[in-house]
Amino acid sequence: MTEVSDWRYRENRYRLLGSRCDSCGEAYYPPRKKCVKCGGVLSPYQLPRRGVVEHFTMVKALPDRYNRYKPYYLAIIRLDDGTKVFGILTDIDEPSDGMEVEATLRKLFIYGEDGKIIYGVKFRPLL
Amino acid sequence: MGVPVVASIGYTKVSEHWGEGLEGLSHMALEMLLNDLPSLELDAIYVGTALSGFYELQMSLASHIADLICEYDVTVSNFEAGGASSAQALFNAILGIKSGVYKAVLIGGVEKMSDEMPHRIQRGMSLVENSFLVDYSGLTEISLHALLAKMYIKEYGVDRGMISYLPVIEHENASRASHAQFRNKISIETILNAPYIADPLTIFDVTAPGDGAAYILVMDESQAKSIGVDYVKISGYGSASQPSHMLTRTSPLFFSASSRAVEKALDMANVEISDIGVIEMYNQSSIAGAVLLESIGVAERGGVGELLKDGYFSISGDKPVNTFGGAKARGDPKGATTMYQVVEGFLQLLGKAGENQVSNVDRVLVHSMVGLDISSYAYVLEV
Repeated sequence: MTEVSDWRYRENRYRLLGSRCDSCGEAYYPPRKKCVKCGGVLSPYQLPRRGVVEHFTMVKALPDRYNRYKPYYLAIIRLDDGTKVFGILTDIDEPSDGMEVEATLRKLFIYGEDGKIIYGVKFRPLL
Repeated sequence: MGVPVVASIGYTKVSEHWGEGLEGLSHMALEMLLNDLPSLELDAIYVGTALSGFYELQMSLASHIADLICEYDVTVSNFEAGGASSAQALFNAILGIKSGVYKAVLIGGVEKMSDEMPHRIQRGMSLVENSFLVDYSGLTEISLHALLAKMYIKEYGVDRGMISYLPVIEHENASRASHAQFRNKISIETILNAPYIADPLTIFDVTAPGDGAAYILVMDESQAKSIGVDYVKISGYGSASQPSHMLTRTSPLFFSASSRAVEKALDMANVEISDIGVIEMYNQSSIAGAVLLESIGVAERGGVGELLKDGYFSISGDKPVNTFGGAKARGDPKGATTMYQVVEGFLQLLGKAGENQVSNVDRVLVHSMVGLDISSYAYVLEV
């Protein structure tokens, strides 16, 4: 990943921007080009910011860019429209299944010799 | 039409081979493979490696393997697909033999992982998944397995311990396998009390990095007969894929790619799963192995734990799996892993499995998959 790809995916990362099928309404994050369910055409779609934790795990072995933040909680979150996404949990001591969470913009990682900071969505307990 | 057979094998112990790189490991395996064979006319060399370009900064590896053994009049091809890299190489070699274009293909896999730091290992292993979804977003391959385990436990209402009996069997089998990386026997308590890698999975639920190389010689049956070697036939093969995003799938607790790949291979070999004597499958974790066994029709959904606990899948059981320890205990040198599985199937079918020999085995199922069942490959080997 280079600076250009960071830029290319910025909207998806910052805004939880996915895609939704024009025909059957199935939503996806990250966005896809073609619907898995019906083969239909997908258009950009703003996913809801709120949801509930369905499952979570505390991840202790992480790749290099994320290693400095270990350990952290990773969850499967069912958003208010029913779409399921993966998300890192933040501002949290002990998550629980069914906990209400909301998307928030946070630092994801720092990389490169010039310390480039990459931002994206994490989920915190509903305020 | 050609009939593909495995005519010779060569492999290293899976280990931390500090003194050997990709070429050194390949050389060790190839010396064993070529030993006692007459001079061969090879048509192609196909090599699988998952991460040599990332870890060792060596790409186009097949060309360098051809150079290693001074074979310059062959077609070389590289295959990269995580733990299924050499499964892809084998698939394409079979097509070459069946078409009649090739008579003899050298297929191998090699991986050098021990030079790397753990966080680089984690990152490399995760690169087979959708990179925006996983690598970019702070997920890892193993964290996906952990979440799958959480789903499994909740969906079927089983105790956490029930997903972890497979590694107990795998370490038991590896304890008698001289080429295995982890030959220590472990108990279910050892697994459950070990440090978490991503809860509920502990370090004994998942595979560990290892160095290794394994090569096989696939020939047309007539060629194998003419050089007078013992061989096993590849009587069926199949492959299938499914959405890479686990949450987009109809049911994450059913590996549909593996299910369909295995079904295709069995259909081609004209056999049922009940006709298979030994299953050599690729599972990066206990939970992946459990879901896999349920998906290929040898256990009821949610019920594999009891069968594993009762010894149904042990060497002395009805349906032995991973008879030399599988990726968990024999070791998981990614690009080479499928070749080790074929090697082990070869040893079982020719009665050369030593203390790990399963009695009366005439068919072996070799299964491989990319990541968490994104794509799968299956082969039926028989004598």
